[in-house]
Amino acid sequence: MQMRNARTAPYLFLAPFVISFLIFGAYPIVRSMILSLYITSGPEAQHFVGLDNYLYLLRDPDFWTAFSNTATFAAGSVALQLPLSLGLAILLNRPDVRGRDVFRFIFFSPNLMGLVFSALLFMLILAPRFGLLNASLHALFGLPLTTRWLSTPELVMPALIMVALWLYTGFNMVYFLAALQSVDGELYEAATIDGAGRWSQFWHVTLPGIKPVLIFVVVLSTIGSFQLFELAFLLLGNSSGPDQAGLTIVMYLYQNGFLGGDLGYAAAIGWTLAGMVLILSLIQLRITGTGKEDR
Amino acid sequence: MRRAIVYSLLVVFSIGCLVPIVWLVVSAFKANADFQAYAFVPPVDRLTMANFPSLFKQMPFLRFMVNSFFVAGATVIVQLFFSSLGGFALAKYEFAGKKAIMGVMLATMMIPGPVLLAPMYELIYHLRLIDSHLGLIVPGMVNVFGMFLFRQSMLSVPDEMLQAARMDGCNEFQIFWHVVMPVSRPIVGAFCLIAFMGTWNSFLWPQIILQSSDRFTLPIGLNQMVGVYEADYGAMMAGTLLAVLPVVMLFFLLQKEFIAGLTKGAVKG
Amino acid sequence: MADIAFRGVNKIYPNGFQAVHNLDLAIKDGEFLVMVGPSGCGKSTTLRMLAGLEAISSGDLLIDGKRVNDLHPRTRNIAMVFQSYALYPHKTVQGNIEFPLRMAKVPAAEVKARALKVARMLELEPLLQRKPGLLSGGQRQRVAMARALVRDPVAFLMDEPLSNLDAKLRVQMRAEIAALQRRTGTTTVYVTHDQVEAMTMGDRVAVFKDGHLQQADTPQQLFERPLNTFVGSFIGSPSMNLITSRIEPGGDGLTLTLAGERIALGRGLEARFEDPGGAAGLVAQVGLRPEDVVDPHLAGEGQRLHGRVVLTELLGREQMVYLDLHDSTRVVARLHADHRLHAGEEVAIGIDPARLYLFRADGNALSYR
Ligand SMILES: Nc1ncnc2c1ncn2[C@@H]1O[C@H](COP(=O)(O)OP(=O)(O)OP(=O)(O)O)[C@@H](O)[C@H]1O
Ligand SMILES: [Mg+2]
Repeated sequence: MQMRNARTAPYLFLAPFVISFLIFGAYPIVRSMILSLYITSGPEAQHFVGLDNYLYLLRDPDFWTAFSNTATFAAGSVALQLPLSLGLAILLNRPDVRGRDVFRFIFFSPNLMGLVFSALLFMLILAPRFGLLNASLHALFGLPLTTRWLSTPELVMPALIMVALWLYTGFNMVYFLAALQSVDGELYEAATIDGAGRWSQFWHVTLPGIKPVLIFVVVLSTIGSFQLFELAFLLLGNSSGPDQAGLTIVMYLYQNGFLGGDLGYAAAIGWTLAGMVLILSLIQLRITGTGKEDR
Repeated sequence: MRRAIVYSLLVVFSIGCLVPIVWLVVSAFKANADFQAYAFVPPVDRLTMANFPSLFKQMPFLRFMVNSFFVAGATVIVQLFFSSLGGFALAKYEFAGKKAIMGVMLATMMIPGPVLLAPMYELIYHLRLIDSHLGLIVPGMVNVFGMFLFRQSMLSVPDEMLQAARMDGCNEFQIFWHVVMPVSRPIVGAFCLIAFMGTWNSFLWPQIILQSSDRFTLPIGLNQMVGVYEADYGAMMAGTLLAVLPVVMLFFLLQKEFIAGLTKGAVKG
Repeated sequence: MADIAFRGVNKIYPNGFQAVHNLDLAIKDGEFLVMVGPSGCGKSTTLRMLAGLEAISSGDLLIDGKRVNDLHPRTRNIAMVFQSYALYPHKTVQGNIEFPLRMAKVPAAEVKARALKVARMLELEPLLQRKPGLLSGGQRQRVAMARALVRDPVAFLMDEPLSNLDAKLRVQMRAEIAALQRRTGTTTVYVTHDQVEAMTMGDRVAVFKDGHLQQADTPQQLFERPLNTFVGSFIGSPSMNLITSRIEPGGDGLTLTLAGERIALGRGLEARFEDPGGAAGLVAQVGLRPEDVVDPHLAGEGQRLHGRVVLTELLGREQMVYLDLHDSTRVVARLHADHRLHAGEEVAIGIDPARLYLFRADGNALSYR
């Protein structure tokens, strides 16, 4: 009896999760593939079109605008956030730094604000004239108070990248700091005895030690950046901004699927995004040479 | 000398992180007229509480708050129960199909969320849950990441402890409830915070599902208000401040567990 | 209180490995039985089958004559102390001790009273409100025992409960456990791989090897009448010397040819073996315990062996002497240290035929009297 109990128990324990997973995880994935082959008007009216959605998408200039905006944002975010957060983590990990926990909390605190509420806050911070950013730039460097960050097409993406930088640098830093702290201190001592300077210690001890986390953060940041929506949507007043300068792939999906009512097209956009993200992640993993020797 | 440089860098970045937050707090107490005159901090005697009554007058802010608490609370509880129980089964039992289940779940974790928006909308539509809180809670029940988080952490609960509980008269569920969950308290705390933050800040799905303003959660409600009452900056900042407070308080309650939970799995590879 | 019996019990793990072979073993009510054997011999497996934590592949497990193969651990009413103690870290000492009672839905007042009684017995009363993390190894050990005892189990199982303690504490706890068992009279099955622990604690000791029970007997019987060379050399420290030799009739009784030297056995073996004469003509293994080596001057004529000292270890008043006989068979002897021996010396050692052990070539002992 006991043996039977212990044998059935794991199935019972997994049942709630697996059942809801089948309904709200597995089924929608499959359904999404099918849906992407239809033109729909709301959930009721559907018309099979095969791969037309994908073909249309590739020819739609709006999609390419969305793609290039999103890619710009992803590249800018990752390129700025990662070195900065790694640098901060390295500074914080120095043995002579006091108040490590306080600094870590401060760097992390923007993340507590959350994406949506940060966007609401930055709407005012980026506002011309009374916004904090312009006021600060004016006070420090005498720049004009009238810079319209969110209504000048060229400034939209820099503004978004800046807000993302503020939001996520500390978040990534927490990962890096944890990784740095888990590097065996004796390795540094050994390297010092072997005559390694600061730079070669960084290259030969620190980087290999935190490599898995580094890759993890790079890949996740890229995937996350490609799903940019809330920040742009809210900051730009629920629009795609001047000259579509803030149109992102997910916003394009939202507009077509839920404002335009074509769920099939939305599904096709979703899978296109998934494909891009997958290819990008694979490229990143290939470049960094993971997946083979690890695990 | 070096230390001085290190500290100045750290302090500069700290200021960068903190200034917008301080500005938010100050702005929540700033009269609308003073936004133009005092971009930073107005004289203390000009600070006002007036933004808060104005906030409550302009929109059902309390209603939004209650809705948000209900949706986030229910989602976290359901997720916690499902994920921890599932994680326990995957961590501590050997059974046929285990590898397959884990493989499938891992694979679905790679798929970005927006892929699911359209079919999920269709599903929720057919379940007649559009414009309902259940329509927010139900799709959020499944948290694959959470289940792996629990599995990872429960792997380190020693088998002998489970056997001791079995000898002490526990059935398998009692082992989970009386021994494994209490021992996993830190990860439970971390999970609750992560899951709560995720739901509390969720925007796109509620934006798609919700239609009536008395069902709005905070992100949706505040965003709508921005459109309508464009110029009431003070009330907007007051609302944002209040909206952020619950997460901040929860964070202070659980911060040790949170940092540990966040980096678990990541660091150990 | 309970009698326990294994009847032809086998354990085959899901991967096909057979950890226990056809085990027949009866444990009497109130007995302290120690299971001992080298690592991997199946002791824990046996204990865990008894506890109900591991399924029995075939055969019967009886408690008080009732077959319990399929009963859940909690319905067997058996308690177990684990090697790691497996205390619940989130509960206080009191919470740990009370837990089995709470699970059994014992009324609250009784829970308190019984927990307190056991805590007193194990001198845990001052520690009741502490969490296990703040206890010393010995204290944790006692909490684990209290948690096991509090239910008045019919049997008490312990799997290497002392192996996480330092040497001194181990000796102390060994005595405490034995005393406690005598006081409560609960049938106890105790697993260890330490033969000293086994010999000092058990009413009876069951020796296992490779999943087979070799012999279950009182410590004295095991020591004096090992049924085979494995038990002979496993019990006792340092191990019994085993020397291959020929047994031949000769002179008055039998003679042995050991490393080219002849030892006259006389009639010394007859007191212990049923029919030593029947061994004549056999090639056998002769067992000689290091402490049974005697002063060559006291040994009778033709009861000496000669060899060269390879190594000596001084142990206070005694010395351990490793020497090679003429055919380079290595022999260990435990001798008085008043005359120190040194490496390279040629020496003689004396043998008392009455203390020799005789095993057939297949390793089984000649029949004892
Ligand atoms: N779950 C299992 N599956 C397969 N083989 C197992 C399993 N558990 C134990 N074994 C094997 O069964 C044999 C007996 O194991 P057991 O744990 O009973 O040994 P033991 O006598 O307690 O040893 P030790 O002194 O090291 O604790 C060992 O060879 C072990 O490798
Ligand atoms: Mg064992």
